[in-house]
Amino acid sequence: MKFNKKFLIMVCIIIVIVVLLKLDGTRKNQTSFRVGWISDLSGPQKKYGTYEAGKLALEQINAKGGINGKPLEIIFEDGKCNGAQAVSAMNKLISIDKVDIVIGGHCTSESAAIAPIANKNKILMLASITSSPVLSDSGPYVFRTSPVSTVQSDIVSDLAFKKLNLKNFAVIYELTDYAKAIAETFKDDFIKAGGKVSIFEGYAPGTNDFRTILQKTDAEGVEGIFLVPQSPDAGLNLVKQISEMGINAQLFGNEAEISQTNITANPNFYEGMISTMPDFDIINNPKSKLFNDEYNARWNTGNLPYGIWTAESYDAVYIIAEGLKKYGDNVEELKKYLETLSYEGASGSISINEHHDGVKTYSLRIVRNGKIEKYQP
Amino acid sequence: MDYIIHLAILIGVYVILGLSLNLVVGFTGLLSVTQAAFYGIGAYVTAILLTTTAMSFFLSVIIGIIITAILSFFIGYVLSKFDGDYYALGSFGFNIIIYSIFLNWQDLTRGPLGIPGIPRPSLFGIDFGNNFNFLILVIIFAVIAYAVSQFIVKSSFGRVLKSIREDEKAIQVFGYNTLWFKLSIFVIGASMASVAGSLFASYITYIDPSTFSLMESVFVLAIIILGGLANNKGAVWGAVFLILLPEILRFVGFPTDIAAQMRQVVYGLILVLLMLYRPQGLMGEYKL
Repeated sequence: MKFNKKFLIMVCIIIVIVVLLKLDGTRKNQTSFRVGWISDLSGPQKKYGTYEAGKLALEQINAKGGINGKPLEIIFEDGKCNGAQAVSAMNKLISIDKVDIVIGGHCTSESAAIAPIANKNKILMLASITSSPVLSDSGPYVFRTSPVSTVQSDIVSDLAFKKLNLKNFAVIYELTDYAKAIAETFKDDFIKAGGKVSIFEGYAPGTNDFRTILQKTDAEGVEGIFLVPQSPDAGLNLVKQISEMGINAQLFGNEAEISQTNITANPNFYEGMISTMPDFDIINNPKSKLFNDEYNARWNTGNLPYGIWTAESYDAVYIIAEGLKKYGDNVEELKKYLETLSYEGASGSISINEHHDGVKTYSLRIVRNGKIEKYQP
Repeated sequence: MDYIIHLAILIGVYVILGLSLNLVVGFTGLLSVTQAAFYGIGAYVTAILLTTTAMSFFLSVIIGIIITAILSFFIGYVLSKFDGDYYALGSFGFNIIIYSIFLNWQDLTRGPLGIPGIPRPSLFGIDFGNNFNFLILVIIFAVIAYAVSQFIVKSSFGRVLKSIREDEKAIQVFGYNTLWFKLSIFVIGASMASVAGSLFASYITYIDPSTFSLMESVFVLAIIILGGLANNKGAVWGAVFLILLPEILRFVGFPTDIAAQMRQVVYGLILVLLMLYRPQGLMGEYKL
């Protein structure tokens, strides 16, 4: 017992010393531009490929000589797509690493939890893959490149009702801010146009079995199904089970449903699916194509793991780098720069509106023979 | 400095949780894994009341305690029908039920979307939006929780709890109604956890159900097993250790490509080693 207490106290003293040393040892380093980064580095959201994209951008920038002769340094911290973890990471970045700029979070749970800290400490925060309405107007220092993507609901509703003449719909969506907003907007639009949404079901993130929901589609005589997942796994399981159950309805998907990796692995499940996508084209847009090739070469992947969203993380690093080049690490100047941002990147053209949300345009795609093609009704 | 304050606040919250569970598991010997559910109820009550009404934080804490106490009374009553391993399984079930309620009662909890923008409290002109002030608030609550726990275990009530743990039949022979004792300590433990939840919600300002899953109960159980069962100091040291360990591993300097994964592996490994070489925990007096 005695030994233990002594041992414990020793351990604690060592801990305190280490932390204090770190506190003192890493005062703002003027020989490099230091930027913080928060994303899921060890959990399921790691699949988005954000870390790999950010690292790639960092390596490229430094290989070309850095920013105005100084190297860029990114400190990657794990937020685990969890509020408390992200807050720990954010505090560590601010007080220990003394960063003024943080790229992240890379999902709503992270971004919503760290946004108040960013505003309080006047830390410039640029989030990606955060499309929940919760983050709009979160404060002067909080920006994001992702749009609030309910635009796609109007496009699908318009196409289905007016051009394809489908009147009875099922909507299956993931219970996240992102997906729920799209599903609800679609429902409102479709009913207003005169259609019928006979099934409107949400499922919790992490659900893999949709058979109970899907069973009802036959009885209701559904003509079209709009799938609105957020995670890639759920998107695949949905189409897989629809195909297994032999459901005969035109499938529609949001941008998260139509993942090239999943389509290449299981082309049959996706055949004929119509989907909305931001204008992100890895064949015709040279910047996107270049990013796609470089990413695959660097990380030995066949495809971009998450299409435009992976590209978004990559662009975020370049956007910050360009700002640093023009304005140095003056946060107030960088803030103005982001407010009037107009950037041509790997994920297409990015601008930021008055709510500090990203702006993107959407158009329609269809899956034909395992390939995503532009769709003209 | 903010980083250290932040960690201290988290430690404070988990000290309260550890103390509350230690009363139930350590002193009374009821292996309960529902603590995250009561923690969550406290957090949700505070979050909902503070975002929808202009209620004071401190009032919401009290309402949280009352709601948790009532719920835990029923849960504890059902659980008291179980013994040993079955108790653990039963409590396991209740945690899942309450977690599903957080997840699916969307009108109230907003389901998986979570509740953002929970305000920080202020009292007599002291603004707890300042992290340092908030830390002091958490410390005050933690000290009260410690004092209450210490008072309980030192009292005659506490002695009965320990004898229930050692031999429930024997103490019944002396005419003690053990059901009443088990139920009261369960309700007291749950109410303390609810206070921790209120503090957490107001500190992080955003909560969603994933924070209150079964894994969180297991984490709290790990805190007291590691710190040492049936010892209030153990709960404190357990919380300090388990919160600081993963943070210290941020500074080890693994290459960034594998840093996050290595952190998890080393964290797990240290826990396994500790349990191998010190199964009674850092300052434990009783082994499961």
